[in-house]
Amino acid sequence: MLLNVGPQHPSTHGVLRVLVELDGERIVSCRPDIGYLHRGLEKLMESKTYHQCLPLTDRLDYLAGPSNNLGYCLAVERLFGIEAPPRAQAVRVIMAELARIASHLFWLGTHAHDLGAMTPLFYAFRERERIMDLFELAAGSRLFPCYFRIGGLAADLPEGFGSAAKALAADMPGRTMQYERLLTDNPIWRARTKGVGRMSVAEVLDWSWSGPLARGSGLAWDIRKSNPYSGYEQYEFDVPVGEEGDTFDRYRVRMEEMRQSARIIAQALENLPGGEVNVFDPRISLPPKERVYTDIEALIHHFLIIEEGIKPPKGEVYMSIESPKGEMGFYIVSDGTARPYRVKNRAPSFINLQALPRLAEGRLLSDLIALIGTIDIVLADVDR
Amino acid sequence: MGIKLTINGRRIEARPGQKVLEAATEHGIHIPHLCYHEQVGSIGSCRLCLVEVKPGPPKPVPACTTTVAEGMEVQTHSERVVNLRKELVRLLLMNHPLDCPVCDAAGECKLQQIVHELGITEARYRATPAHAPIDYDSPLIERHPERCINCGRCVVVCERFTGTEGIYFAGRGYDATISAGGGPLSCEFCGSCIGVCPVGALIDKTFKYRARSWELTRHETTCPYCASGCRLELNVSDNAVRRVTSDHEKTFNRGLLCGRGRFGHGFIGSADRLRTPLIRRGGNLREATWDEAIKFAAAGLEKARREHGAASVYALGSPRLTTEAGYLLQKLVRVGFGTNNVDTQARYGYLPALLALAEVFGPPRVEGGRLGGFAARCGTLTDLAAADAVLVVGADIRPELPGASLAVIAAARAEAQVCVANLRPTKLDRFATLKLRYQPGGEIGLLAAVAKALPPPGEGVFWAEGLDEFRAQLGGKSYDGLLQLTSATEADVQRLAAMLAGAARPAIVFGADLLNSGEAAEKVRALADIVLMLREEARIYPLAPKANSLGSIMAGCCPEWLPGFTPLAAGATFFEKKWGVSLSGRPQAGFPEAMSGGGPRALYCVGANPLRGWPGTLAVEEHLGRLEFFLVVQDLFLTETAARADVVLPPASFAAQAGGSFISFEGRRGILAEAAPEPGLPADWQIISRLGAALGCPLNYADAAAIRAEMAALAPLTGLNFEEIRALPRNFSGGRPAVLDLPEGGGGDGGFHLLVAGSLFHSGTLSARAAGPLSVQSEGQVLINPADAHRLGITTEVVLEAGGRKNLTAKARVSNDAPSGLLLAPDHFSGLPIHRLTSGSYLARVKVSKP
Repeated sequence: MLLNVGPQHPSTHGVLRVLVELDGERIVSCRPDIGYLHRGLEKLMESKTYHQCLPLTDRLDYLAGPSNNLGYCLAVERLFGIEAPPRAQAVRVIMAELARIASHLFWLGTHAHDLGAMTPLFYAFRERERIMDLFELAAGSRLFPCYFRIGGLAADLPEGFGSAAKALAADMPGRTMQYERLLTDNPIWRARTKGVGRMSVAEVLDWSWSGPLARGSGLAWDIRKSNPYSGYEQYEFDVPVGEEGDTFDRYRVRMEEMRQSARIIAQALENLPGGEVNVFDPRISLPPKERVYTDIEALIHHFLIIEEGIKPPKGEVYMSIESPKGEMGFYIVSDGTARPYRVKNRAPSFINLQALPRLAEGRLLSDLIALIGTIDIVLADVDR
Repeated sequence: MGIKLTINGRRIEARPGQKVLEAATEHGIHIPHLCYHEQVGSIGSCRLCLVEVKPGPPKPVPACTTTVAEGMEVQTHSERVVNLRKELVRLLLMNHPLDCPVCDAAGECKLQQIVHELGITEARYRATPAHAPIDYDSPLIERHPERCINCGRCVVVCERFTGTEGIYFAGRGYDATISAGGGPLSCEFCGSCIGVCPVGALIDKTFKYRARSWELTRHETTCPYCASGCRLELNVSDNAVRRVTSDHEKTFNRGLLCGRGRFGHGFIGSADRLRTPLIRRGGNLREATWDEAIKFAAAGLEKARREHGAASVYALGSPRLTTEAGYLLQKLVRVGFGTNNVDTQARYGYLPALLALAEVFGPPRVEGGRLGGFAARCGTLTDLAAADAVLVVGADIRPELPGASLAVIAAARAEAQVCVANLRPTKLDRFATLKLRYQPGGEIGLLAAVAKALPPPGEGVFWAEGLDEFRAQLGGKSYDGLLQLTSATEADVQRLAAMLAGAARPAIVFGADLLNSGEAAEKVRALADIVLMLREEARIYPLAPKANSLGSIMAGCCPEWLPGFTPLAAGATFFEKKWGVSLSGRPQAGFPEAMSGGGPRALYCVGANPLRGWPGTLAVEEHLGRLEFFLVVQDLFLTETAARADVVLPPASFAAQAGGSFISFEGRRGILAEAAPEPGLPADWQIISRLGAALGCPLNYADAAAIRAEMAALAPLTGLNFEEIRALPRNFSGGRPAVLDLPEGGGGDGGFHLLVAGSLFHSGTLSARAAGPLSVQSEGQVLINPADAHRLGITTEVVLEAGGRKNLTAKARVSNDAPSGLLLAPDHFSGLPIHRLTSGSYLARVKVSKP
C-alpha cells in the first residue's frame, strides 16, 4: 500500500511529505518529498545587502535564530577580516547556547508528544518560554531576535538580562532531571526509542550527519571544540556521546547538551568582558544613533551603510558553526559590491533528513514517527 | 616611449605629460580625490590626492597637478599622507550641514564617499557657521552654499568649457564662496555645474525631492532637441522621467549638455500629451480607438486619391521623427501613392543648403571604399575642436547647436583664430579674433569678397575644374561693391582670407541665420567656392536645425532625394525596380510650391506643425481651410495644426521609441532607448505602418532595426555607423565652383527686417511644454534695438506689418541682442505666431510701429 505521511501530518513537524510503501505495517520503501517551504532564500540574498540578508537567516532553522545569525555574521566578518569585540563574542555565545536549549526543548516536547508522552511538552515549553522572554528583552523579538550585527551586536545587553539568564542557567540542570524522570525509565519510551534507527559511526560519516545525530552514534565531533569560534575555547564543557547510535542515545545526548549549554551560559555571564559591542570601523558598523543627529561624519556613515550597504573585499569564504541541529555553514562569494554574489547555506536539517529511508525501511510505520522526531528537522531549514 | 615610474613600489609606464593621478587611475591604483574630474581636469583645490614623491619636494604634492617623470617614486598611502588626507576632510566637514537625509546628492555624493572610504569618525573641529543664504531665486538651479566644499569644478566648467562665466569665487579664505555677483544666476542655465558638483551645493530644481538617486534607473539615449546628438541618460523611477544626466566617461559629449537637454524633459510627462487618437465628428475632435482612427484616416486619404488623384495627397515629415519613421513615411508616399509628395521643414534653409553642396561637390556617397561628395568635406565635432581657424558665418551657434558651440570655444581656447560674421551679435563674438557684421542680403557679397581675396590653391592641392573662370569672374568685381551691405573693409576680408588660407585645419561653420534668411542655395554655393580654394583639410559644418534634420533627409523625406541622398533622377530606376513602382517623371515640387499650384487635397503631417513653425502660416492656413480638405496629424500634442485635423494620431515620445535613431548634424547615429514605456502609444513608424496596411501598402517590420536594415540594403551609406564613415578615406575630387549671382550695388533702405531666430532655452513644440525651459523663458517676445525702440517709442509692445493681412501685435523687449534695423523673434510659442509675417524664409521686411 502507498501511503502519504504529510504534508499536513502533525508529526512531520511542518510540511514534510513522506511517501511510504507499506507491506502490512512494515515499511518497504520511504521517500521524503521536500520543497513545500522553498522560498529561494539563497537567491534572494543575492539581491539584498549583507545586513538585509541577516533577517533571512533567522528563517532558516527558525527554532534557533541566533545560531543562524551567528554563522552568517561570522562568515561575513571573515570576509572582511574582522572579529567582533570580546564582549560581543561572549554575548553571542550566551544567545547561541540559549537558542540551543530552546531548540532542544522544542524537540523534546514534540518528540515525546509524538510518541505518546503528553506531559514533557508542558514542562519543556515552560522553560522555552523563559528563553523567549530573554530574547524579547535583549532584541525586542522572540522567535527571530536578529540581535547580532556584522561586526558585533545591535545593542548591548539590557538591564535585568544578566540576572534572569543566570537564574535560568542555574535552574536548567534540575529542570533537565525533571524531564528525564518523566522519560528515561519509562518503559513505553524505551520501547519506542531503544534500538530504533541505529546508525554506526561509519554510516554517520557516509551520510554526512553532524551535531547530536553524529554524537549519538559515538562520534565526538563538535565544531565548538574542533574549530572554536566566538571564544568557545575559553569555556569548559563536555561533549556527550552515545554508544548504540539509536533514538534513545540521541535523546540522552540532547538532554546532556542542555546541561552543558547551561554550564557555558553561566561561565560566560560570570566572566562577561566589558567594552564595546561593535567593531570600531565606520565602514562596517553603524555609528551610535545619537551621534547621527549631531555629527556629519556619523550621519554620512549611517547614511551610506543603510542606503548602499557594507562592501566586503572580493573573495569567498566558508564558515560553519555548531548549531543545535548540526553543522550550519555559510559559503559566501563577494564580488566587492554591497550585495553577495552567491550565498550557499549548508543546512543541517536538509542533510540529516537524507538518511530517513535508510533508518525507516524495514521497520514499522509507527517507528517512522520516532525517526522523524529523532532527526529533529525544521522544514524551513530543509527547504530554505 | 612611455615614462617609467613606480607607484607604491609597482612599476608602471605612463604617457608623457600625464598627471600622476591619471596614470595611477589608469593602472588601477586608487588615490582619493574630490576636485579632480575626468572631464573638468586638474584643479588642485581639494589637496586630497596628496602623495609623496621622490625625487621631489620634502612635502607631499597633489597627484592631480604633478606631471609624471622618469624614475619617479610615488607613495600614495604613506601614514603621513593618509593622516593629512583625513585632516583635510575633517576641515571640509567642519561646517557641513546635516543635510544628507534631504540632500539630492546623498547617495551619489563624493564627499560622503570620501568620508566613508577614509573612515573618518569623530568631528574634531567646530566653526562658526557661515550663514550664506540659499539661492532659491534662480530658475532651474538651486544653490546651497553651506553644502559647498569650494572645489571649483563648477567655476572651471562654466568658464573653460561652456564659456559662460556665470559663477566665480568671491571672498577669501574661510569666507570664500561661489558667487554669481550676489544675486540669482543670470547665465545660460545649461546645468553643467550641477553635472560636475561633487556634493549637493548645486541642484536641479526640476528634480529636487522627486526621487532619491538610488531609486533611479538610467537609460542612455539621444537628446531630441538640437542636432548635436548629445547622449544623455533619462533617470527614471516609477516609469516617470525624473531628471536628465550625462555620463562624462561614456558619452562623446563628455557629459556636457545644454539647458534644453538637461531640463527640457518635462514634456514627456506633460498633462497636455495626447493619450488616445482623436476623430472629428460633428465638427469636434472626439476620442477614438486606434482601429477606428486608422480606418478613418485611411478612408479620408483614399477618398482624396479616388476623387482628385494620387498627387492630391501630400505628407510632411519632421526633423523630430526618427530616421526609421521618416523612411517609412516617404515609402508610404512613394510606394503607396506613387508620388514624391513628401517634404520637411528643412525646405526653408537646410535642405537647399545640402542640395547646393551636392551640386558643387556631389551628393554623399561611398565609392571604391572612399567617402565622396560633400560628406568628404564635412567635419566632425572633434575636427572642429581641433581646427586652427574657424569661420562662423550666419550662425548663433550657442542656441542653435550647443554641442558645436562648445567645440568652437574649445578651439578658441586652444588659440585658434575665430572669425564670427553675422547680422547680429552672438555669444561667440567674445571668442572672435575678427568680428564682421552685415545687413540682410550682404552675405553673398561678403563671401564672394573672401573668395576673391583668397590666394589660388597651392601645389599638390586638388584643382577644381573651372576655378580659373571663377576667379576671373570675381576679379571683375570691386571690394567696395561686394562689401556694400557689410561693416567689413577690404583689410578685414584680406585678413580673413589669409587666416583661412594659412590655416592647417580651417573650419567653416554656417547655420540658421545664413540659411533661413532666403537664398540659402546661393549663399552655400559661395561658401562651397571658398572651400574649393582652401586645402583639403578644410571642413564645412552645415548646422542642422533639429535633432534629426539630417536623418529625415537621408531617409528620403524630400521630393529631391530618395533614401541615402540618392538624387531622384539618378536613382529612380533602381528604386522603381526594388519597390515595383514608377517614380520618374513625377513632380518634385516642395510643399510651398505644391500648395500654390492648387495641389494637395489631403495632408498627412507627421510631427510637423506648418501652422506655427513654418514660414508663411497664413498661406498654409488658407490652403487647409479649403472645402473638404482632409488633414491627418500625428503629434504628441494638440498643436495648431492638430487642432484643425480630421484625425489626430498620438505617437509615443522619444523616451519610448526604442530602437529608433536620430542622425546628428555630423552624421552620428544615436539610437533611442526605451526609458519610460508609454502603453497605448505606438512608435511613429508603427502608426505609419498601420496606416500603410489600411491603405493597401504593407509596411511590415519587426522593429526599427529591421527598417534600418532595409534602408542599408537600398543605400549602403545609411547602413554605416558614424565611426565607420569617419574611418573611410576621402575622395575630394569632383568639385566645380558655382558661378555666383553677385549682387549689383544697392544699399539698405533703412527699413526693418524681422528674423525668426531660435532661443537657447527652447526648440519648438517640445520645450514649450516642459516646465524647465519655461521657467527661464515663458513667452515669446520680439527683440528690438534700444536706439530703434527709442526712436519709435516702443517699450513693451510692438505692431508689425508685412503687407496684406500679415500683421501682428506682439510683446517687445528692448535688447542689444538686436542690431539696429533688425528685429528678432522666436517661433516656439503659440502666443507669438510670428510666421504670420513671413513667407518662404525666416526673414521678412516689416513695418514697425507702436500700438
